[in-house]
Amino acid sequence: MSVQLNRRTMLKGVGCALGLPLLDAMAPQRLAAAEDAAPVRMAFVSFPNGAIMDAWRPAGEGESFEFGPTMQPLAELRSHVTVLTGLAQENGFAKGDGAGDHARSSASLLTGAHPVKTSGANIRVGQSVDQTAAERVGHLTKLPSLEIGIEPGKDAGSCDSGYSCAYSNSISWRDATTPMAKEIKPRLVFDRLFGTSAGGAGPSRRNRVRQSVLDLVSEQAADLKNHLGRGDQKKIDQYFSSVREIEQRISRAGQNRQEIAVPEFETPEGKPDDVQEHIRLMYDLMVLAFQTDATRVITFMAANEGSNRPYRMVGVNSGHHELSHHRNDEEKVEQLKKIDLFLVGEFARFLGRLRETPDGSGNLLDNCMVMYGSGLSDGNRHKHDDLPIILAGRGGGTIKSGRHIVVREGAPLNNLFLSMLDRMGSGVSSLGDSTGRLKVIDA
Amino acid sequence: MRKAKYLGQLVFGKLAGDHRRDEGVFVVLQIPMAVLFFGAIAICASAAPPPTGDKGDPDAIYRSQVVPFLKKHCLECHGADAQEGDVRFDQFGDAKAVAADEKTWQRTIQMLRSGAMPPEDVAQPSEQTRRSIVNWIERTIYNFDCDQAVEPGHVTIRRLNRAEYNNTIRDLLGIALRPADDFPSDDVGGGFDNIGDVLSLPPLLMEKYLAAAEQIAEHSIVADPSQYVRSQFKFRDQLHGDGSARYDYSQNNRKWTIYSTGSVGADFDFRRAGRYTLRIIAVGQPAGDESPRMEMRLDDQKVKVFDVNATQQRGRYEVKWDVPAGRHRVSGHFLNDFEDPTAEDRKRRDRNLIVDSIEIDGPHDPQPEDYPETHRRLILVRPEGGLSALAAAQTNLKPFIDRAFRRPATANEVSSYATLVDRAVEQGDSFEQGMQIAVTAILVSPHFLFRVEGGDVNRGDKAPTENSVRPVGDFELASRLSYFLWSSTPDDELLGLAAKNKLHEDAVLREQVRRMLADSKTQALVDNFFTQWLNLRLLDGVAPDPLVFPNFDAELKAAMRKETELFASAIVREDRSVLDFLGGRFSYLNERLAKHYGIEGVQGPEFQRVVFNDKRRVGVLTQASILTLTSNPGRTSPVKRGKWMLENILGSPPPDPPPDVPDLDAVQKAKPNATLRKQLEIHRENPVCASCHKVMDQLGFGLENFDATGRWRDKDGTFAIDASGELPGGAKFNGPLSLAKVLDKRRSEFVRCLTEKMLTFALGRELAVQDRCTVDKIVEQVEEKDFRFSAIVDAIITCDPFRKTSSEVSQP
Repeated sequence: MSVQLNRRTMLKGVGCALGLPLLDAMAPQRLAAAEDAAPVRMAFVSFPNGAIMDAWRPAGEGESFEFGPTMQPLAELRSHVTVLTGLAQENGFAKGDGAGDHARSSASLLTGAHPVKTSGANIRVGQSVDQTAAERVGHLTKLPSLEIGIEPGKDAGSCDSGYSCAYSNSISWRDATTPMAKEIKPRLVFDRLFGTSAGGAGPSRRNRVRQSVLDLVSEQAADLKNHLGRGDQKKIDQYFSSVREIEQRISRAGQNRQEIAVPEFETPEGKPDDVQEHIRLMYDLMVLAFQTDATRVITFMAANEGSNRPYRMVGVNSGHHELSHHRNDEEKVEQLKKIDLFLVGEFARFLGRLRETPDGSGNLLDNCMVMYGSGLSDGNRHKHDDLPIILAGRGGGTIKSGRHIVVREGAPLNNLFLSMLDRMGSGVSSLGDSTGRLKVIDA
Repeated sequence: MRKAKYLGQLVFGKLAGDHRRDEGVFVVLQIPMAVLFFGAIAICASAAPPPTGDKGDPDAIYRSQVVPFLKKHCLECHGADAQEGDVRFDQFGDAKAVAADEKTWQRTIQMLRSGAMPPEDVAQPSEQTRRSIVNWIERTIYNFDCDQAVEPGHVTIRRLNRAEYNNTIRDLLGIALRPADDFPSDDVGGGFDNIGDVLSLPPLLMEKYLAAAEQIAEHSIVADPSQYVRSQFKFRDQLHGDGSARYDYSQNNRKWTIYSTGSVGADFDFRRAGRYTLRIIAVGQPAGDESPRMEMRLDDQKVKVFDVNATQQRGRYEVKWDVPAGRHRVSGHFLNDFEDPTAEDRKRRDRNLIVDSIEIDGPHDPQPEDYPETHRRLILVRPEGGLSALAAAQTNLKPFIDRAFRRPATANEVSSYATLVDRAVEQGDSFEQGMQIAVTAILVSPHFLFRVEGGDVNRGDKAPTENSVRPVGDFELASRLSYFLWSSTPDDELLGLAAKNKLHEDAVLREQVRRMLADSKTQALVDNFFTQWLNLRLLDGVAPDPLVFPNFDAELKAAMRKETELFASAIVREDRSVLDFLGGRFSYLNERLAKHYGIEGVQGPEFQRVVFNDKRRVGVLTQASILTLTSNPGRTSPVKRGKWMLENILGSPPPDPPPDVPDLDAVQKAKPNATLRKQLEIHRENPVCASCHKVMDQLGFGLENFDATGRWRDKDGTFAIDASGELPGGAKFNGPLSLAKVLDKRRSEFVRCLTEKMLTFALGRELAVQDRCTVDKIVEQVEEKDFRFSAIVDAIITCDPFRKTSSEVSQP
């Protein structure tokens, strides 16, 4: 099926000069029933291996603070950003499970749960915050949530000291046992967001056909499940649950909603070789997804946890993970700062795009909550407390941004998540190891 | 049910169910144990001792062998006076007490096996003693007995992974689509990406399955046969050039250019006489006053002359033509070469013709025999001459569902799919469109996407009501075989033998395995098993520092990977001894890689077999792929290379490092100005670190003559390379060849390691404690058969875990 989209194959050499085509003709068009206020959107961007905290941590507190050196690219967006210091993901610590801090840091980052140490049987952690939100507001948009990344999952060997690679490859967990696979090819992300028809068949026939197909296979799955043992039944449950989600999407599409206009967007066919270009394309797609309200919940792994890729564009030729065990070697620390700065720079560029995109009566950034952070603070010693966390956007005017908030009691990161979920209209009373809401961010 | 993890050779994981009870016992035992000493009488005399087969009374062995061993080698650091790493061995009264503290003893096994303990500065046990102590601990804590019937284990129902999906579609329909290339990556567990417990099915994947099924259905069945026109394409390297036509091989710009006179053409099969569209896709480089002129010919006959005006984008130059049946060449000839070296516009100095591809469409009056083969196989009958759509669909679908579900379809299944077709036709779709829908639904069925082993549907097997062991059915066995050896669906012969209920017979099974190993589809073993076992797939993500290794590029990396793939492929194809992985003095090189290795006489991009007479290259260990993927970007890492050998060759992975390295912190605080080298020396002085690093580093040193991209070196900077090392137990080596010899002396560990990996891959589950017994038997059989590759495969496909399954109770 070749999806008939208004997309041109990117010409060699165009490279990162690509701009995001923000067309006036492409004013936000919502799938959801008419709403007065623009909806709040939520995104989580993770980076691996922690940060050099000395260069990260802002000086001063409250409204009068100075960004640390590696956070400088955000200076220009200062009034839109809340820097949070002192939050922890305690479940990233070993708690008797020995080595494997990288796997634990990605697995715990958005779940606040302690992953079961296993390389295969009985993979289990907890539902992640984005999926809690998607469960409650996902029905309002074409895709309940979007999971994207840059690096494919490691496809051989072991990922981290006896933990299955599932823990390092995903930060989003649909439930305690189902990691949400992520899409790494920009073109395929675009197709998911905006592709509607295939093979010339109109969407309505296609949806009718899909519905009849899914009806039949659901029956088969139900029948099959009765013949299986417990472990096997769990796998068929995943099948069911995924079929059901697609059925729901079909039924939403049938509810006479305005189709999302297909934006013009240039993407290469495969995975871009240039990491910077790749990261930018993914961020641009996030802007598009929010702008068109194709989804309100996104997770983006700027790299897999424990990633050992070099950052040649900023002169770092050694591997990131290898460097992160710097043992205070000054040269390595300097290299790591360059990586931190680069990644924050790309994040700032993304925030800038959100800010320049009109949304409701203001701009998109005001209506977003984007967490940027890592499940490790000190990557050298594998610390999971005092995490580097930035919250960007004002959550529809409910967050008092432009501050550096120091949480001295070492509150769980999940407390922030509870507060974010409230703003999505999907509040829950607890999530993972949360102990309450992080009221200090409130406007 | 035992579902324990099997952590490499002799190192076993938790027994999830069985040891819950022990936690309680442990608490009870804690108190009296504190006052017990070695040789004390068992405190729980009434408790049944763990069975040890014919190995004697475990308590007696504990007293006579284990306790003296502990006293001699361990207690100095792990006894009453010191408890390094919080480990203390002087408080276990008897075998039962040992069994109760599985965690401590598991780690003990790992330490003993890898040679990490005892540390160098205390008396070293003989290998024999080491092994027998490890044996005793295993039998004691895991409580199994190979002399009794061993549970075959249960493989969690598993979906096809990406490779299996692509291959299955290829073999099921005979089409070359690879839809799974765009599926999300499959998570890896136990080193492989085909493990049922680990493979999950999130909504994204279901979405992809559905889209892929639609794509395949549309590709396989022509929705409107009256409008169908067959197309054939040939482009770039499928074309032939004559005269001054030259092919540019450079990666980003592959094309045929005709510089003066000459032609580019391709042969096509015109299956019958009829009217066809002949088309040449071309670009002109104009010069002077004219565009390039191209004469299209059919064989030697002039068809038409075109002015190739397209200069930026490719142009389509086509004509409808009556062509007789048979094989004919369609070609484009460049007629008006022109050169003006003085032209002002440099780009208009030389007139050339570039041919991109040649296509034919037709015949334009389609007959059923023109339809694609998939169409003809899926549409055996149409609803004509009184045949209803329902009946026609049933006839068409039955054989396809049989193949897709890898077992005979039930009447119920066939009729529910046929009903789908019938209903579509009622709603105005063509019969062919209806069939597309049915094919889509078959390809997203759980019976296609999952390898279901729920008993034999046709025998009317019911859900198991109690844990039980049964032989897998013949159809299940057919799938187990084909997904193991081909990563694909069983072929007609396997399914035919299963239908006759003959496949499980030993002679038939062996004969089939011989047949399967001779098939080119065993390339899948290289692509999926060997690339994962050797971690070759990780080479993709490796990025040597271009400042240090300016010669390294994508082409060299691809050549490295290819070498190892061809090497593994030779072992399979020639049924060589698997010991060649350690000691084979041959490999496959092309010019680029041979130059990298400093070997003369290999020319061109094709790979050729090379026999080594030097003192450098031997087996897979010295292949640039392995050496590169175990290095850091800027330098070698003896630690990583050693770890790779321990994990993938010797099967005794080093224990996890401590979760953090507090001692190093302490060092830094105490000596903030110490150099990194000094800190690391202190780090190694810490026996916890030193014990493991000693083994890893020493193994890695043996390969220090190879830099981080696998190139030979005699010096690192200004320092001469020291490639000597010594392993616990005293085996010494210096350089790659003697390291290979040392490893060859430990060939049984290697064969065991390879067996474990391949059994994991074959079964699609991590090995459990009781699989130890199976592995023992396989290793024995392989040794008897001169370590032939086929001996491992034979032994695996005839072992109980492969041919039987333990059923789980279902829950209502």
